[in-house]
Amino acid sequence: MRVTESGVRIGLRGRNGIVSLVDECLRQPPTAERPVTMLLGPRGSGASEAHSALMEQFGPENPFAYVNLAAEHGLLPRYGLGLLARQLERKLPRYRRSHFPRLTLGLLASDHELRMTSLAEGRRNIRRELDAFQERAEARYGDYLAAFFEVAGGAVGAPDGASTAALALLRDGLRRGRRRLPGRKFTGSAAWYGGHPLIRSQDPWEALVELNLWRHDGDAEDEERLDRVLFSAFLADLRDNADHSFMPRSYLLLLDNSHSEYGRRFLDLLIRARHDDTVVAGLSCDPLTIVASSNRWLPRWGPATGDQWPWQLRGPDRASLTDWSEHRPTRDSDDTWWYPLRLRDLNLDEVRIRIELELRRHSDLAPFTRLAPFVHRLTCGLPSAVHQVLEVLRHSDVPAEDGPEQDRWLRGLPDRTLRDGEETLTLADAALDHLLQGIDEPRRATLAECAAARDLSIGTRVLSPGDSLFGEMRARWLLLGPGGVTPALHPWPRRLLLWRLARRPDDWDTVHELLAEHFGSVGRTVQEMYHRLAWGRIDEVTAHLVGRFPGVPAAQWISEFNAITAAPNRLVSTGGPLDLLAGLGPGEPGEAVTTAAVIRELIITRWVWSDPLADPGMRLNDLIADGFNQLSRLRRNDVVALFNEAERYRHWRHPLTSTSEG
Amino acid sequence: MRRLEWPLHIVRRVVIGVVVLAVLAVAIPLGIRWIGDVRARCDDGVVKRGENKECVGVTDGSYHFAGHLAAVVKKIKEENDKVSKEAEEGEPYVSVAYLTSFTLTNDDSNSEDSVRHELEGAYLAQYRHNRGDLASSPKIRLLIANTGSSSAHWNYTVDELIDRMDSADKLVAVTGLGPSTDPNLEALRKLSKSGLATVASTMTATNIQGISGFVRVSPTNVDEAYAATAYLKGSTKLRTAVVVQDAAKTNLYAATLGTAFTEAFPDKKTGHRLVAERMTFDSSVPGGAWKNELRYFPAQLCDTRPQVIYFAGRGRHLTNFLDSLANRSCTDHTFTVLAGDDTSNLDREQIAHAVENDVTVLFTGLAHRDMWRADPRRVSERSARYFQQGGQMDEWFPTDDRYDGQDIMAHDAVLTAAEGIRMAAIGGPDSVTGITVRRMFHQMNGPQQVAGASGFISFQNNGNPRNKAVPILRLNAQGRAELVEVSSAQGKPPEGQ
Repeated sequence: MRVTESGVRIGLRGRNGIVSLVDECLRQPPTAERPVTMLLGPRGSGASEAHSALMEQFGPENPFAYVNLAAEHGLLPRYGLGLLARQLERKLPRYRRSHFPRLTLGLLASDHELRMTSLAEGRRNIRRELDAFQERAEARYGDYLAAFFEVAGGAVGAPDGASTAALALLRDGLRRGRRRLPGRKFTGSAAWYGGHPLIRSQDPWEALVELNLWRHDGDAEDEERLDRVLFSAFLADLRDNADHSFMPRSYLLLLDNSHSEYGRRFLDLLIRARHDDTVVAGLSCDPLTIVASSNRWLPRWGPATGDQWPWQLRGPDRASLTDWSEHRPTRDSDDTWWYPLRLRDLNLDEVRIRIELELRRHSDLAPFTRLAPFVHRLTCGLPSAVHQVLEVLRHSDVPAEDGPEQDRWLRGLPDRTLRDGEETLTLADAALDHLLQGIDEPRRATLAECAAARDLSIGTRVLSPGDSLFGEMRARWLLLGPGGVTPALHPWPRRLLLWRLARRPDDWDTVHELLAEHFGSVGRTVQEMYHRLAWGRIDEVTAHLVGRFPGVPAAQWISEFNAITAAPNRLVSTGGPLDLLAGLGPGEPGEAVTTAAVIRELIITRWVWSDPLADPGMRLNDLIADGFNQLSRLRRNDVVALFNEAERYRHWRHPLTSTSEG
Repeated sequence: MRRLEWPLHIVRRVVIGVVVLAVLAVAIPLGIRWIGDVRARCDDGVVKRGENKECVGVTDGSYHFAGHLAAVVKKIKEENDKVSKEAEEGEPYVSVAYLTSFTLTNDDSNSEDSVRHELEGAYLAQYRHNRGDLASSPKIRLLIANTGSSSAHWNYTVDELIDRMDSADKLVAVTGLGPSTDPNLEALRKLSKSGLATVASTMTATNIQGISGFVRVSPTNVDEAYAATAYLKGSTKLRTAVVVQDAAKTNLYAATLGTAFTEAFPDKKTGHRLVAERMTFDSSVPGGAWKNELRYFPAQLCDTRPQVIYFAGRGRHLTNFLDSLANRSCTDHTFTVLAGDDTSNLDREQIAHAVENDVTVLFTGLAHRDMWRADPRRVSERSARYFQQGGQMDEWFPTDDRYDGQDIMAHDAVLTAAEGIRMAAIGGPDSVTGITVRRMFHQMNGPQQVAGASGFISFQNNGNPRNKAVPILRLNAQGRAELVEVSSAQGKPPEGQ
């Protein structure tokens, strides 16, 4: 688990809208409707850091609970509720302590199997038995809810990237359980169960016996009903708490990794309980401010294309209650409670600020502040990737001086080692393991081949028909450009996958050959040339572009040139940009400055340039600018676009967000 | 119900703060008061008051307010302790207080001698009631109550006395009550309102009357003036008179005497007449201007040459007047100066000085030990014997010359209270309260009249004594008052029955 200094400072860089949204929610009156904010993005997009930052920001003043619903914890809903209630009971200076008597009684009643031969007998004995259970639990753990921490405490853990301050808060919340005054029994809340619509019996004690039977003798439907009643009890307790003076207006619930099977179930039950209480039963809304994170598309939202879900993903920058109210579907649908926020990648400025913030802790990063554009080009601003790259730089003997030595070192960056706890992996392996968790090596190899195509959907169709990889990547939010733009794999995993594919030269060539043929057969010449260049057929590409040069407007030619020269390469993994260029050499010797010679030079230069690992410092800008200048002299008209392009490279300004360039 | 959203820890702090402040707000004044009380304490029930830090309050004799009182206070303490000890064996008791200004300054009309003599007389009455010739039950504890100079702190002392009604002291009566001043009158009213019986010893102002539960053993000023005229009318040599009067508004004593004398003296049958209008001075004018006024009187008096000058004023003004008169031009004419009872407050030096000037000084006193020998039927023999030369009082206080009769008046006052207690106790010791004692004052008639050393005493409904004996006294060169005659408002005082 990574621990950072301050989640607020680093984790939420570029996610300020989330903080202000949560702040807004916490300030609302207790009965106001609040969204279930979903932080959506691939692994490493900063959701856990967001949880940590929210915890650190609001934890000291507001009751909060954090539960990690990741699959490995296998957290059943009842345990999840127990953990949440236990944390929300934390005593804060400005509020009275919150109580969860209904939930506790429900958990208690369904905990142990009651010894009874008939309902009537169960009814007679249940109070005594429940009191006895409670006394035993309190004798052992201090209070009944503390027992849940003993059983399921692993799911509390701490979010990845949690700051020391957030960790301290979390530990404080768990440790400071309260010892109940002896003699105060939860059985006083039994009447609430007698009146619950999901329970047949109107008698409080029979209702509790029914709960017990559902858990120990019931089928799956009964168990689901039990969970629904428990969630309803949880919300009723919260409403009751918030109704009193000196109680908080809202409770912050942080549900990490809620895309897991258990997480989805937990969220389903929570949303359903809220919807049943608020919309169906017409009660006031519960005072929960829920922030959940998921790095998967949730099946309940329909197909991952999102066509059948009434929500369009919103950006986190301008998230607010007003934005939620304006876009939420009608209250009749339980979709009305979601507020999906897509965690975007960091832009260049945010990466730069992040490096500077980390500098405060790690002064050894100082020489690398200039590398912000490189890091951003390489990772496309994926927060975990930025972090991993910085970690590699910090722990390696990378030349501090900007220059050829540093360029040569950075050329092999994916193969540099990254220490993760006691494990030592290459950066590429560590990053791919993180991003593609759950996908085995053969499929990763297949994915690497498919990723050779910019459009992953075509890559999978051509190279691995019938494979669900495309859908899988889409569900993992690893595709760039939802909607009309090319559904490309995120540049960071794609670059690393292609780095691996480059180790298999034959496969590399075959894949690109196949793709080139495919695009050729469908008349998409630019894409065909893209793959030919990746295949290393520089002359063919040169011939194509030379042929296009006089025939099409300069602007279009430049566009096609840029698309083609953005092709990946499998150039040697040593040497700086000039070494690489030298290795590629001229196609045909000759002193004459011909169009073909200039275009060829331009193609290889930009090909190398467009790979951030090949030209980390963008040292080839001037060469490219010269190439366009020369090209402008070889054309009689329509030269302004060429001049402009030359100027663009000469005075290069790196774009804030990722583009196909570089 | 509206939710309160103030931060609980702040609310708690504020509430705790308010509670602490409230506690401090109560505790600090109490503490300061306690510290003040401790620092201001002279003894149980006696505290320091005023700029001079004089000790005022009530004591059972544990504390003596002035050094000259030590001997008599010690005796009172011993007697009180005896009563307390007997109480442990079941002997019932009640308390009677003797209230006056015991810490005196030049502002007071009483002298140290006079208040000491009062206390000695009061002790005699206590002794007689407890274990002397009048021994009866319940016993009396005598409390000494000091209101301070000019009775400036009467309120504190009176409150202390009222508190002792329901305490172990079982106070039922307050005697003494000091001279006729406004503070003393206020004190008297408050005591009366609280239900205590009150008996004044030397309070003579005529207007102090009709107060519930209040009686006095002294004649009123009017009675004194009438007794003076009765004496003069018995003389053929003293027929012309002039009244010299203090015109100070607060001096009711002087106004009462002057007016009563002016009314009663002229008598066409006997030829007694006033030969000039009243001559007045104002002792209340700041800066002592009254002394200058007095200097002009001798010339006028030499013109009119009255045989009698009736001086209606305080004793201390009388000495100045006599000084002025000594410097008169008509030294061939002998004046007889007749004054009121306040003359008895003069000490021996003052009296001796007053008679150096070839002037006969007579005054209507309140009591004199020679009254019994001069007119045995008008004074109780049993009581009077204690005051005779070589009597019990001389045995107890051999070095103290009780020339002013104040001991007799105080004795008679306490004796009146003791008589009331004895009469009230017929219903059992528990029936002795301030209310029952003061009711008994109205029953003290005929055989029940008080056999006082200053005369036989019974009371009118307004609290004044009936036709009380008034001694006509003359100051001699030794600074003593000599009895001339026993008079009364009606000429002859009542006899014993």
